[in-house]
Amino acid sequence: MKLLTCPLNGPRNISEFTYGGEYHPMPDDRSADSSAWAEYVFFHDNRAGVVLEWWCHTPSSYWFLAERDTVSDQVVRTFAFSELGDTQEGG
Amino acid sequence: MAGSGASSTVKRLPKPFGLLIDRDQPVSFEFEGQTVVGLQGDTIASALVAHGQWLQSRSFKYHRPRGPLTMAGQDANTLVQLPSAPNTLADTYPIADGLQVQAQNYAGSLRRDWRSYTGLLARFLPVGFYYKTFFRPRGIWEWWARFFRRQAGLGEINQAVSRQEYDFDKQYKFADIAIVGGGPAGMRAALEAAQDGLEVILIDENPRLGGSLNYARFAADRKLAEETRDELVKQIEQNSNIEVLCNTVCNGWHAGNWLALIAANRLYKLRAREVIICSGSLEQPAIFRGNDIPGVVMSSAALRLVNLYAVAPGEQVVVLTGNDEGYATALTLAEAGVVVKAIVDMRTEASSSEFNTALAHYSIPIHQGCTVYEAQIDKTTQRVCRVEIRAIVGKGECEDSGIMLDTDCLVMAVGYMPTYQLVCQAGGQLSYDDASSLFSLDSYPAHMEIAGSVNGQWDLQAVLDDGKRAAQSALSWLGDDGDDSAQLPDGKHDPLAAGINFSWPMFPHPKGKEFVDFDEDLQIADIINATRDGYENIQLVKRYSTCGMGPSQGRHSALAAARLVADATATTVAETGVTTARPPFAAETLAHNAGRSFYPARRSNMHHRHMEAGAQMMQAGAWYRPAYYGKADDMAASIEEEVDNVRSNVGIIDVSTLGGIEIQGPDAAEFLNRFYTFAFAKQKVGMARYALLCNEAGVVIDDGVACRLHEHHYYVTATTGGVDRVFQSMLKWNLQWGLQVDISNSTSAWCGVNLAGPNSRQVLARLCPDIDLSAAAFPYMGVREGAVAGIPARIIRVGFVGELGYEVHVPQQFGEALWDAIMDDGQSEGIAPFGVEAQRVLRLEKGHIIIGQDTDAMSNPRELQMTWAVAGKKPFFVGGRSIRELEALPEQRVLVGFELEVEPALIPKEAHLVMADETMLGRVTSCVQSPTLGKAIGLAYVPPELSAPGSELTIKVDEGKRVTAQVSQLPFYDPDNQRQQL
Amino acid sequence: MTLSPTNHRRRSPLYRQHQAMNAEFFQQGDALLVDHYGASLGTEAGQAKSLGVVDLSCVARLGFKGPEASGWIQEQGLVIPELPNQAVETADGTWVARLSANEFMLLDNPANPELTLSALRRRHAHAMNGEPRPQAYLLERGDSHACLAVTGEQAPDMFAKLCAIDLRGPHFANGSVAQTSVASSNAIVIRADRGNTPVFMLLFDISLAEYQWSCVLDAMQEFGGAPIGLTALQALSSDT
Repeated sequence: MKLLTCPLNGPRNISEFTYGGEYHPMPDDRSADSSAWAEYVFFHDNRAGVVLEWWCHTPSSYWFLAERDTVSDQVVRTFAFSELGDTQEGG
Repeated sequence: MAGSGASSTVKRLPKPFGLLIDRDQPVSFEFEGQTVVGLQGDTIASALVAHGQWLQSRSFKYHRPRGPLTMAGQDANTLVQLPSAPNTLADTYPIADGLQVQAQNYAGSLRRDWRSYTGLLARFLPVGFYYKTFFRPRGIWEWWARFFRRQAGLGEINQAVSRQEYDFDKQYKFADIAIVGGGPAGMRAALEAAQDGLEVILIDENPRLGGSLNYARFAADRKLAEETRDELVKQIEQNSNIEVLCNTVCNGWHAGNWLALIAANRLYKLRAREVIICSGSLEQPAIFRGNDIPGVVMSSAALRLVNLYAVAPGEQVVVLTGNDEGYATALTLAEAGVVVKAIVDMRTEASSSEFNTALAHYSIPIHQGCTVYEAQIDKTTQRVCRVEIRAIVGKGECEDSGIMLDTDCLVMAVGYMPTYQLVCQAGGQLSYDDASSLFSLDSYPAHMEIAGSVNGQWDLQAVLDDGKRAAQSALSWLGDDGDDSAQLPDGKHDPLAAGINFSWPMFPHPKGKEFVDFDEDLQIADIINATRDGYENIQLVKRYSTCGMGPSQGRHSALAAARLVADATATTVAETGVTTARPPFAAETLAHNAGRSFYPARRSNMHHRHMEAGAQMMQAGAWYRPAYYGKADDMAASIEEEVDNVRSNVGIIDVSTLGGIEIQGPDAAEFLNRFYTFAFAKQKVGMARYALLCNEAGVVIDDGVACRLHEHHYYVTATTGGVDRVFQSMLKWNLQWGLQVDISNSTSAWCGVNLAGPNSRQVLARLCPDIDLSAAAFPYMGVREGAVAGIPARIIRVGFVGELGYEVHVPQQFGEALWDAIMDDGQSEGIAPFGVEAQRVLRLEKGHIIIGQDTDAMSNPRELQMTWAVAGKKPFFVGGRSIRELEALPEQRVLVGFELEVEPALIPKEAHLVMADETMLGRVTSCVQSPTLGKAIGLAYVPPELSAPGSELTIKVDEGKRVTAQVSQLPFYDPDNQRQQL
Repeated sequence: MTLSPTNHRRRSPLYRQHQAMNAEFFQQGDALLVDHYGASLGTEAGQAKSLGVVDLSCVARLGFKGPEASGWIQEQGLVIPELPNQAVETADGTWVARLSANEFMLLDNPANPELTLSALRRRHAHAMNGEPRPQAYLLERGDSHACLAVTGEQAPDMFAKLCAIDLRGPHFANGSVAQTSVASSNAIVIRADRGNTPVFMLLFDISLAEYQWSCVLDAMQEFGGAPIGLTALQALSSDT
């Protein structure tokens, strides 16, 4: 079974985690045009390469972010949401 | 039984042969109803061979006679039936007193299996038979299927075996370094790895550590192996950092160095930081006519019989070889006193090995440049009796005639394939050099090492050095975790390896029966014909021909098949490759995978009171909830009675499963404003408000009530099935919003009941004298904190069932005491419990939806007619933008109430369709016969033009019948909400 | 006189299991706790050292959570662990486990009932009525979670059948905390040794109590583990 390293709890079986989808900052819901809003709500990048994802460690209900390479299926790093400022969000 | 008959007098070879047996301990068991006496330490197969019984099983397809091939559990030639388990490997299963063994796959008797005449049908069962028969002519498959189900024996499951005998379970294990394979490389690696105080686990499938050191010959001096083994084992036993797991098969490598180990009835899940694979090699058969006849064995099997069990494989053995291993085997046999009648060496040049030099003493005739062209069977003993030797004139070609030699055992030594399975499961690539006929493994992942013959090392010192190197490499991984680039093997091949594999040990015969795959009875022509049928890729050949799909999973057929496919398609073996290796390595039972089953079940503190009251329980997610109280065959009447009691008197239902979430902090109201659709900022302390939850797409996903207990504290309920997701979602959103609130899931902290019905107030009043329950002091949707029956409680006046009602929530462990107090106190009114079924009827009468039942993945507030619960003027809430987008679009459908009066069989059910002629217009989501209203009522999605009260709906019910219903105003019951406001 | 749990308002979800094993109870606060089972008083001390399980569901537990939780607890004079997933034992035997930067779980010492926790509860209620209200919120962990103490040298092997975390001595030292999955359900495991015997506090959603109890008993079987009472648990403390 795969391991994923929770920033709070350390490496754990992947079965202890809930996947929370790709991370996308929400556009301003008053000013965004309809297509931008639909893009945000319904579309995923599905990028081949490193993507930024939400993961939750279920037993501790701890949400964090993971950079995962969808080509090699290796998790590059995991970090607390508060450290997001250090990361460049692509797309 | 023991000692009866001639069987006990069977001679064994002298000591030191027979490492595993105890000569003083006879063990008596039954084979095919006959008593057989073996020795403690024997396997079923070794004990039988000791008695000259080579015939032990029948093949799967043609029912050909079969006997031991590898003596290592690597083939399916000796599958036998035990009383408790089918498909047991006789060559590794230890005998025990009284063990009853039956052969498999035969009709009549093992010796005279009348279904073996299927072999005569072979030309009608061409390769790809199954594929072809699936297609045409239509219907023919069913005819063949009946034939094959009788024909294809796979043993029988004894369903009478008790639970205890099948007491399988699982356990985690942990190691710094796990080493698979307890041969010289694995043992050396373990000793090297354990030096730093790290925890090492050494895994071997055999009962005794040592691997090939237990049976194989590494030098003319046969003591070398034994002395090397004894020294390594001694050091391992003295090292407390090494845990040895014998009789344990590593059946799979999974991501994160997670190894599946099978030991007896247990599946170990071993998580290791580093893995070293020292799995050794698998000896390969020569391919010629009759190579599957009992008594034709691998050289390693012959050596195992001699060295482990002191069993002579025959009285006049012929050795067929393509390398020096054949000479090593012949030398061991000769030293043990077994007559070696001839050595047939496929190579043109005489062996220069030290084994050949030592053999001079025994004057064994050597047929250089020859092969066995055909082996023949003795019809009576069903064992090899004669071989035909022919000179080799080209690749796979022989002279037109040869000489016949009588023999009762033919030993094959033509080469090896690395035991590559675990390495390839981890992503390793197996390569083959057509020039040297050697394999190599590379591209396996970080934190894995390989050593020993699996890594192309054959000389004993080279193997030991390789084990040491692998361990040092693993230690460096542990020391420096940063470097994740794939580790490459050193690439140096041991010079001894050069001659280990004979390049083309395959000799087609005009009459066939040269088996490539013993499990599936596939011959040379079958593989070649598969390529001619257009399946030129090895993966397709496998699926078309079933080659490698039997229990031995291609361990002896993959190389031969690759060679044949390469030859037939004019490519190299390297280009052809082998098929993908996937777990499990060896056959494993479903029981191993099932282990103990864990089905978490949640129960409220009142659970047993429901059971005592005769409740029929149902599952809601992991929770047990009372469906109704009464006998199972009295369901409808019970539900009706419960409904009536709530409407006319007072009922009580356990609502502990309802989700509860505490929202605390200065921004609590702002948080709810953003999260739910309603407005909460102006909500008064001491009041509850309906809370509808949409996702970002504007789809309704949950609901509950938000109780304001303090300016900064809300207690929010959520649906039983939805609370975990709602809670997670709240945390995720607030990470991004950064509001000053704390969110915690308090579902299980509270145990609750809903006390519902016109008499609920007077029951509750007697239990909480400190709270004024009057309508003026404690109005509908009011919330109070106080004591009920002396227990601290939260009381919420809600109306889900449409009557005067109070939800009373108390700390979980007081739940049963609360139930007891209310039931006791309510006796004077005739209080009675009601279940989830009655609640569903009651809420439907009141027109309340259930999220998940009456909504789907598209339901938005407008079509649910719930825009009243959406505060459109708020600056932001989740789903708000999408709801506005949806409102700008034409409405697609509306959830409406409908009613009809029909006989019970015609009452619509969930998912029945609303039709216009043959066009589907919508569907029913809920429908029940209402005891209160005396008619059937329900909810359905319909097009907007059919949503006006009075519209007629045609609903297609069971058996395709159609009924007509009228759209009605919601709620069906008490439209002025007088009763819940009492 | 035999005490009956049904005469008390707070009832462990496992009291029927205890009764079925002829438990002798004693009263503590609102509830009854198991003193010992049937005639096994003499053997339970030894059982506790090899492998035992004690139901501590009715022993008080409190949670504190919120951005000011760590400060507030420290102001009350308690020591807190420096890092999440660590636990410390206070002088009176209360265990303070830190689940995250802002969340704590406090386990009462049944030998010293409610000494610390009831005082904390009172002071917290007082603080919440004042201004400014601390952003340190009290969670009723005694009701949301059941608690079993699994004792003895063989406990890590037993847990290996239920849990993917390595709980063996050097890997999970005294005071370690794991928030993980036990028997396929969320759980918190806290190593809280008594004397020189390893003790693991297993906390999980209280509605799973009967399920988890049966899983632990089943997993214990091959090691000869068995339920024990509070007397045997407390005897471990004096054994050094």
